[in-house]
Amino acid sequence: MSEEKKKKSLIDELIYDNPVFGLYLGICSCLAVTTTITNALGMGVAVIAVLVLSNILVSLVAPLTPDEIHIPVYIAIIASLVTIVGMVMQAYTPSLYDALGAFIDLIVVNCIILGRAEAFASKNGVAASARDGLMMGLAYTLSVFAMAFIRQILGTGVLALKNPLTDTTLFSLRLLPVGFDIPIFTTPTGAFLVFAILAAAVTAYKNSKDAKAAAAEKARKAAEAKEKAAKAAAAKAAAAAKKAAAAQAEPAKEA
Amino acid sequence: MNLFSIFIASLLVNNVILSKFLGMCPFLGVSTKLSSAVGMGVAVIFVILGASVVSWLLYYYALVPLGLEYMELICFILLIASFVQFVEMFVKKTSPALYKSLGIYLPLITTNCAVLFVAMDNITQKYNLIETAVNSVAVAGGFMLMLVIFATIRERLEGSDMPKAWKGNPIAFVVAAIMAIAFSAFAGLV
Amino acid sequence: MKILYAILIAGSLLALNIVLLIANRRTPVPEGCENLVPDCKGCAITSCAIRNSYTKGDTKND
Repeated sequence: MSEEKKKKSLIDELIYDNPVFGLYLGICSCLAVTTTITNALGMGVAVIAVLVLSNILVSLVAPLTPDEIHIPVYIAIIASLVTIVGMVMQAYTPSLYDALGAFIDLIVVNCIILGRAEAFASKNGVAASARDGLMMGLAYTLSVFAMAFIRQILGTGVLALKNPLTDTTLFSLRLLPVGFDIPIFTTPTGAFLVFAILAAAVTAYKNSKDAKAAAAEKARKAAEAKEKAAKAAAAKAAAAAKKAAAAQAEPAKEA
Repeated sequence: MNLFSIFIASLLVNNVILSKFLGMCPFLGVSTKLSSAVGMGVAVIFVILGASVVSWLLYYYALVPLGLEYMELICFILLIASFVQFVEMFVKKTSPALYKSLGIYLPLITTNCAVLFVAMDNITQKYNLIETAVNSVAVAGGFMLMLVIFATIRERLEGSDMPKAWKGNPIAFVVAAIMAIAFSAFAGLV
Repeated sequence: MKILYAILIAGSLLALNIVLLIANRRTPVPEGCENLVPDCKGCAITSCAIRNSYTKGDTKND
């Protein structure tokens, strides 16, 4: 069982343990920034940066802080990191910074970051924490990208990606004919709907995986019980045969 | 911009949950029962009002004179966390009845996106102290309104028949989508 | 010089937070309220200190 756990596939880590659709963390920013994929990817990169750096710093600082006061210290670390990342974004990608608005500053109360810092980084080494931060950040980026993809195509009909550093359009494909796009997907209503559908899809995937695992466990237990029963029967038969042989040998001796 | 238009705009038109998507994390968790929704709502009103006013004072009387506007985020979040601890301690000591109904939700409000957003938005919009207070009460009132409405709907949804994958949070989001359409009718109000 | 002020303000806020946190932990929960659990199932962080502080018992003996 432990070997199966260690070999958890990449798909599993990104979808089964997905922080956004599986655990419902960091929903506020997910719903707000997914109007275009440029914004979604920009937010994803910011979250990855903050997650990895905060996990590293927290795993270094955690052994030195008393257990009672760790939350304010983590909050201070994460807030400083978010301020720095925000300033870097404001300097190098000003259009992205304006589009994302206050949600860059709200990364500090994004439940994913504080949650991972407390659950993982405070108890593990630097390398493992960094890797965990990267994986969680990638899962978050994948989630917001999926949502933004759906919302942008259905809402505007155009799949467009802008380079945030130079503010030029990298590509712009019109996938739906003009007039066939559904603008409601760019509104909050569309955000809630797309989120509900994706959350239900991930929950269904998790349920099916759990059902498979439970069935496999049941089958394994049944096979084990069968083996045991067969062994016990064999042992019984061997003992009976021995007894019979001994009983036969005695009369032969007596005779 | 007069106070009444600020109040209506923050309460209904730009409702904090339905059009700004803030405060979703505790919103999903606490909106399953009406009693907990009311407790959480009142706690949030109190915390947002207090935290916004204190943050405003800190910004304009300490950070701006020293030229330290970039420390806004760090100072505000630490201030909000301290304020929540202080309020919880105050409620514990003064009124057990109050603690029973809303004190237990207070620690959950520290990581509520809405509190930090309102504190920072008051600075961005350059409100004075009275406008800050009105805006904060309106935002928190909108949050409580949503919580109560959702709690009544979700209580009814608990017993409904639906595919297993949709139970719980996914169907709550569908309800939120429908409510967002309903509330977008307020758009032309202010 | 400004950086000194910044560190001072941030540090004092952090210290205030820690002091209030410890004072809050030491304040006993009023009688009749020891077994209350906030109804928070929305977010699934099982190691959240906020959630666990109510299942562990948050009184003077902490």
